[in-house]
Amino acid sequence: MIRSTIPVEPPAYDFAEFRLPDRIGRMGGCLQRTTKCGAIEGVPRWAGFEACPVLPIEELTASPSKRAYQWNTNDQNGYPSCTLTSKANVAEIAMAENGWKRRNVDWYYVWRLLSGGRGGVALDTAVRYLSEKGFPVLDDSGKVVGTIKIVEAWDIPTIQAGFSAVKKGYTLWYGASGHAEGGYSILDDGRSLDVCGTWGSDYGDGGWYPRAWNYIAAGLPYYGAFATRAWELQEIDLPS
Amino acid sequence: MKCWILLPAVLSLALLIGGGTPRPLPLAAASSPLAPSASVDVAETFAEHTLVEALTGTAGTGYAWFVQGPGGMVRWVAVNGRKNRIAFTGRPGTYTIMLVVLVEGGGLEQAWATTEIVADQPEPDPQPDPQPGPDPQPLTADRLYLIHETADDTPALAEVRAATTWKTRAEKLGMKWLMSDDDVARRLLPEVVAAAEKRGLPAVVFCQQEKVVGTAAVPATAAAMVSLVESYGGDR
Repeated sequence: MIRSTIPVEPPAYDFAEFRLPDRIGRMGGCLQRTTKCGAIEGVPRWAGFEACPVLPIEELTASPSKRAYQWNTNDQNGYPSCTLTSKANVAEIAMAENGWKRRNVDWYYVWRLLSGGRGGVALDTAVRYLSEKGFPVLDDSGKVVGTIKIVEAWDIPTIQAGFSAVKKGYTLWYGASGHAEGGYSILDDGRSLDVCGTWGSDYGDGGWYPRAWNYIAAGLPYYGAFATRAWELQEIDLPS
Repeated sequence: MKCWILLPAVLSLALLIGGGTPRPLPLAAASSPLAPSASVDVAETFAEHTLVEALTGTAGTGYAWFVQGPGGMVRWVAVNGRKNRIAFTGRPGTYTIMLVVLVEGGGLEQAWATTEIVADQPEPDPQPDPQPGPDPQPLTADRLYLIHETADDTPALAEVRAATTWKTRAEKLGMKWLMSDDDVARRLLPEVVAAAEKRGLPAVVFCQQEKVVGTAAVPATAAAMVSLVESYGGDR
């Protein structure tokens, strides 16, 4: 894992609650969300006031795999950092899919900043930070060469909305059972997502595994889910 | 100009009596002890596309006309009741008109005359045919941008965006590619986004040395996207 050497600044938010055990009695990497769905400014609720309809269930069929765009296998390596590590996967795969120069995303820095290095981070907290500050992106030597920010995202209220987002090409980033993951495509059964985990390439099929819809749905009211539509690199760097 | 040429009397008689269409005969081979005793009146030249008229004043009971021109020699049919006048036309060149007259009492008289059909001088074409220009250069691009408004993405567009086939093809053609939300790309690529919006989002914008050389709507399938990429691959 490439880590930056930049100093960690004090967080702009009050994250003291993130160091507390969550309701289910353990300290997971993904904490309960702190806001209601659609309450984050600039992150509208799917199928809310903005026209983004939920697709009918019969249209939620298999979608193209994104595995070809995985180029960096992030491993949270024992840290309760799944929220940021899985979001880093989302950003890095988006870089590859969209033709940007592939840069390592420093999820460790953001996790340490938001959690104090001792616990998990809620999805909505991460979305707020990443919309404002973004992930640092590093060159191969660990030097920060820019940032990648969330520009446009949806707050996902239901599992059908989440699958609709995946069908439209976005990644569903969700929390369930104290863990955060990213679902990249709908599998052939139409009821599971192809998930890129955060335990390295030794886990599952090169780091990928299926996750059933009901597992995701169970965590939605508590942890929430987001679909990032657009990222922005500090400088769009064409592949060379 | 008149040129008198001898024609074999044997041939003349055979044609007159047989009435068939004679084969072309090289005039140089013609030789006869008979001197021309009849006459053929014909102008020396005729303009192209006008009717050549020849007339004989020799009285007779029968006339056999032959015309030898660039296409060979044929027996010609008179155009009047007395059979002493013919008319014809043909492509530019020299024509020899040969006549055998059966005179009263059984004798034969013969005559030759030449005339020329002169080609018209072509006038300048007021609207000359367009000259073919240099071969059109194949469209070539070195950059491809797929610009879309992410809020309006559809499952079909997601399939095109996720496909690796057209991206691989573009790279093999030396074409760098980038996909972006229009709002994200607007700051750094304003001309590209303007061209895409003019076409209507989502759109594909092709550039050559940072200048827009073409736009297209995003095809419905990844296979069609490959074809679109190849159409801007030039002769590579």
